[in-house]
Amino acid sequence: MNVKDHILYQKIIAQNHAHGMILQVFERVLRENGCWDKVEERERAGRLAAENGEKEESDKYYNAQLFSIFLEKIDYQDVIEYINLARKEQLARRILECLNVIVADTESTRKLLDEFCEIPIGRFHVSPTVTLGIRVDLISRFISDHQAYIRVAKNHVNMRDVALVLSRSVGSISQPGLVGGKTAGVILANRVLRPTLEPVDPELAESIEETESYFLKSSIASEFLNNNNLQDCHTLKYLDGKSMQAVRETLRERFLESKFTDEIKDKFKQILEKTENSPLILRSSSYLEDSAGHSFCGKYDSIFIPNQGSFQDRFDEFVMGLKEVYLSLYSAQAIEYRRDNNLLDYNERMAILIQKVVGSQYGKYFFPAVSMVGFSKNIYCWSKRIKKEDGMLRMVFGLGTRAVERVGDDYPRMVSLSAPTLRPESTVGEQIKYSQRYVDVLNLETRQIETHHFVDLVNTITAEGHKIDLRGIISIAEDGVLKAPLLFPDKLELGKCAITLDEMLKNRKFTQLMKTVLKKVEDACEAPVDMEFVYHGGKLYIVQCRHLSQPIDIAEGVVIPSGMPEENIIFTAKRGFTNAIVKDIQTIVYVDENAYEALAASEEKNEVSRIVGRINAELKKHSFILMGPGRWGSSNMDLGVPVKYNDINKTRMLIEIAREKDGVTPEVSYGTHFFQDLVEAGIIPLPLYPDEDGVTFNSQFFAKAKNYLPDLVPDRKAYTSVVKVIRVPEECAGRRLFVYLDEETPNGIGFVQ
Amino acid sequence: MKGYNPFAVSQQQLDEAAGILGLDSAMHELLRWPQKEFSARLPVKMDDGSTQIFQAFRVEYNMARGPAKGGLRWHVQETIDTIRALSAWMTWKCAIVDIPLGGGKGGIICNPKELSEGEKERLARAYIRAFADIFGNTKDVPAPDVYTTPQIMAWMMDEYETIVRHHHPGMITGKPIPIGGSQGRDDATARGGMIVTRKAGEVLNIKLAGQTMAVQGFGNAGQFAALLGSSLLGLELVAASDSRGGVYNPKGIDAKTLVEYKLREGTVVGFPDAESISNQKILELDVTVLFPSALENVITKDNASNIKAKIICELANGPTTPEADEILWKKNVFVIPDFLANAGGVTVSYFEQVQNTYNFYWTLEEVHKCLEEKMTRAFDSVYEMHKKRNVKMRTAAYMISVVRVAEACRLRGWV
Repeated sequence: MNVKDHILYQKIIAQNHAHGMILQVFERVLRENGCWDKVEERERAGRLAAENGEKEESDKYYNAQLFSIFLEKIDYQDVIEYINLARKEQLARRILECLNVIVADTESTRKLLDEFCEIPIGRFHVSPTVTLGIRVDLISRFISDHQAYIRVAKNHVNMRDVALVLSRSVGSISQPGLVGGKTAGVILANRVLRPTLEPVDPELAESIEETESYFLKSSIASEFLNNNNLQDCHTLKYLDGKSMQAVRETLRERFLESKFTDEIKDKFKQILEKTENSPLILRSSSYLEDSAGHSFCGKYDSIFIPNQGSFQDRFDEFVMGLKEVYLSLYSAQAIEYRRDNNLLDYNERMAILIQKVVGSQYGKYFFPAVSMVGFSKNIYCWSKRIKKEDGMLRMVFGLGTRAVERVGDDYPRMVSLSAPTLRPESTVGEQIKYSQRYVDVLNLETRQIETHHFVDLVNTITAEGHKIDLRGIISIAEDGVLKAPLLFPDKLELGKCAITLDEMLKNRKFTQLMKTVLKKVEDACEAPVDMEFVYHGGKLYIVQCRHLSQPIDIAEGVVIPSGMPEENIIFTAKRGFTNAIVKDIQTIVYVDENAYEALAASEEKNEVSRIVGRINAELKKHSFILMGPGRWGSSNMDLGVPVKYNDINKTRMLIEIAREKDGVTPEVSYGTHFFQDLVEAGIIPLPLYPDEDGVTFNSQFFAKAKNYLPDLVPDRKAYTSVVKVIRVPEECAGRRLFVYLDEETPNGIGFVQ
Repeated sequence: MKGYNPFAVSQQQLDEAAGILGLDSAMHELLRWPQKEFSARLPVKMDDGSTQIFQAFRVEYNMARGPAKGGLRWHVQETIDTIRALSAWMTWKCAIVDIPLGGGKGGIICNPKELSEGEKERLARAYIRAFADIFGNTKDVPAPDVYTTPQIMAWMMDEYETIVRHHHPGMITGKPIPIGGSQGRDDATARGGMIVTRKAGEVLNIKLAGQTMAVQGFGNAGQFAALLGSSLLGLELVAASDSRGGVYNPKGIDAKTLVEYKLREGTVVGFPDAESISNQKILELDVTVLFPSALENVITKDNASNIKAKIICELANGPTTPEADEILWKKNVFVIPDFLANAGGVTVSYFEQVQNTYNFYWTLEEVHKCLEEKMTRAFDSVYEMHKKRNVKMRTAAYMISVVRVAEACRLRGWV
């Protein structure tokens, strides 16, 4: 035996539990290469053993022959590869054994996976069928059991990836648990973009970084409820409104008093030790969250924690944050959403995704350069030059809370990736007016998310001597030109600068990257996706990924009826964002623009929302639509009726009437959580611009129609001038309202028939 | 507005003035139509590699008093009639402030909202290539207008200079200051409005200091009206509004604080220590001076009789409908018509052209001083006509400008 052979022999000996598998692999390889005939070799080994007087040891002779021929026929490097392949096959078998029980032992599985991962990836792999089987088992046991997810994830998330997930998971030993929908989405997106086994697109490899994350499995929440006598939470969802409210009133207190076990607390402490001084976000990641068709966006809480100060403070804050997230599982709006989506009976459970907040510290403030929501399909095609397939971004400076929520009188930058620099505002004044003014930041001293005007924020940061890179983010208005200056002024001046993100958007590398990312993930998921990102320090971080909720889409083009008698037309629209036909509308709930605007007190405007909510409840079994001024669902009630999702969830359409008072198109709600809610509930949103040429708006119909508000909400007769409930058949001789919307032309019409 | 033809309106306005002045038919006919009209088809390479063809116009309405002067509009619904009408109004506006310029206007049918920066630049340069022959500081001088910006002026000037192969900054105005723009352009419109308002106070024997003002429309002109009304005239701001609503405090609102609030919040709505007021109600407040500064047709026959202001200074274009004008005239409300009230803008544009020609640039104080002189003289002559002929200030302003232009035509021997 030469030195190399001896070393190989030693390597095999070292793998004592895989010894048998190694020989099996050797035998298989030689046989496949036509160098091994098992029967002949068996006979030969028997003969040799007998000749040496060791008849009982013929197996040893057989193995020695196998070993010797294998070394003779196969290259040294390949022999090592085959040894590793055998080790992998051996481990794969053990993993399957481990998973082949009702409750998989997480710890044992994790150890086996770790062992598997220690083996170099190499050239030879375990059979694809076995791998696929293990992947599916692992994904459904530890990540998500949604079939739609598994169908996609099994092609991208491999055993090594699951091992990494488990190494960052915290769960109860006694109970199984998943990492939940949000975490599952992030894992999938990262693996699609940067696969661990296949070659990675160098551009993506260079640009994308993964956020440091930890996963609290749902079992932690289950154990927490059981240990603290909170089991009644499971059945809370079946209580009637009043009883539910009564339970909910004490729930917070009960949660705050409740405790985690010492064992779990130790695990939390380990996380805090690893993430020392880095702000964290505790994101809800329930089983149902971010699943196909049900994003649950905004329904459950995500809590930022500064993670600063003494260990005890950090720990207390962390635990408090976790409880808040758990509590949000039982909120009114979450349960209502589940009821609406027929998900009430599902055994919903809460896992938590803990992510280090990406960003930099500027004195007491912490925030990233840019946060954004990206859609692989652009549902905001305001120009024919914008292609739906190229996707869109909704971008903000600072924390992403402003990118995902409808933030009232403030304007994130909407970017169509077909033409990234195109924007509906042309003049400097418009661009300043319709730009983001407020920035959400984490204040590490007050330990709160704070909202600051960007001018104040930047000036405070620079005055305190901290450096902040504003290139690509802020443009300065000088001599009627809004552009990134060659030299930034020492102090920003109100009205003379704006968050435009122009320089970033002019950078084709960035916009191409975003296009590629959205397209790749969409292709992998075989469906349009909605992702949240942070872009900081030239790196892109994926913080969320889910299926995009799209308006009810009628596949074939809608033919808009023509030749309609003018008196039958209630409105026409020149901008529609979806194909849809809504038939047999019996009731129109119309909020009069002028009367609403004339309401001076905010309380009165809030009352309008409450009235709309009550009508919504009353008419829930009827076919009705809502029409009214401005941006519905905005927190700024001067921009539109400040309804919540629950106030409007039964309407079939929400028609936002936008008057172009300054010759500027107001921002529509596309891309916000509010818009998502509408879309998922099958509510068709339509912006109506009555002032545009060629648009009909039958004001007479609305002015003359009888108002049935007093019948529905008798104690709010005072609001009859503001809220009109119009029964279409009563007004139009038994006819009903039909709405046709054609995305292609785009054209829409509402008429009675 | 459906069926509205602005050129027909401008011709009607001229007809009215011509009737009062007894203009002879040839002169009337000459002034009813543009002297020259140019059109061009502009091919522009788009970012996606395609080529798009744009329709462009330039109208030189009347150049008897000097080179044509007027903005360039980029609008999807641009029509030759709109440009004709606006070029006519530019002719009268330049004449009323007695600057040696004629009237012009130009435009491109396009939707600038759907053009990238690069496409806008190529379109701007294509426009200059098409019309370079007619432009020049002694021929025809464009300026910014609807959806054209100082940046577009800068590209246009650069293209023009590339063609003529020498510096020629006076061929266009509204440029950024570092390449030949004038000081004082930011607040020129509002400042001009203040000068004529002060004059109105003098002739009406109203001591404006300590009196009240309301500003409807709080964009650029409205904000400067509030600031300058307070600092130059001593007026106390009591109400202001924008597209989202208004704020009112009879005890006064600090203009500077409100402007800062508007810049911060994007609206005046929600300003502390003031109550809400609608855009309609603000027009009807009992104030000394009302500055309509945003939209057309806000004072109509429906609300004119409720107007309580003593002076209306029309910083916006066309805020008062003809029927409302009649009602206000009968109510003795002193209306400073738009093309006098907001002529400060074109006057400073003219100053820019002058400075470019001399290649010597004025200080801000010098710009203000010259503007003061021009606006004062303009007001005096309109007021004199108004008193002498007992006509509305608007009619008087029309009469003066038409007379000035007609006189120039006559002296040249055109008619």
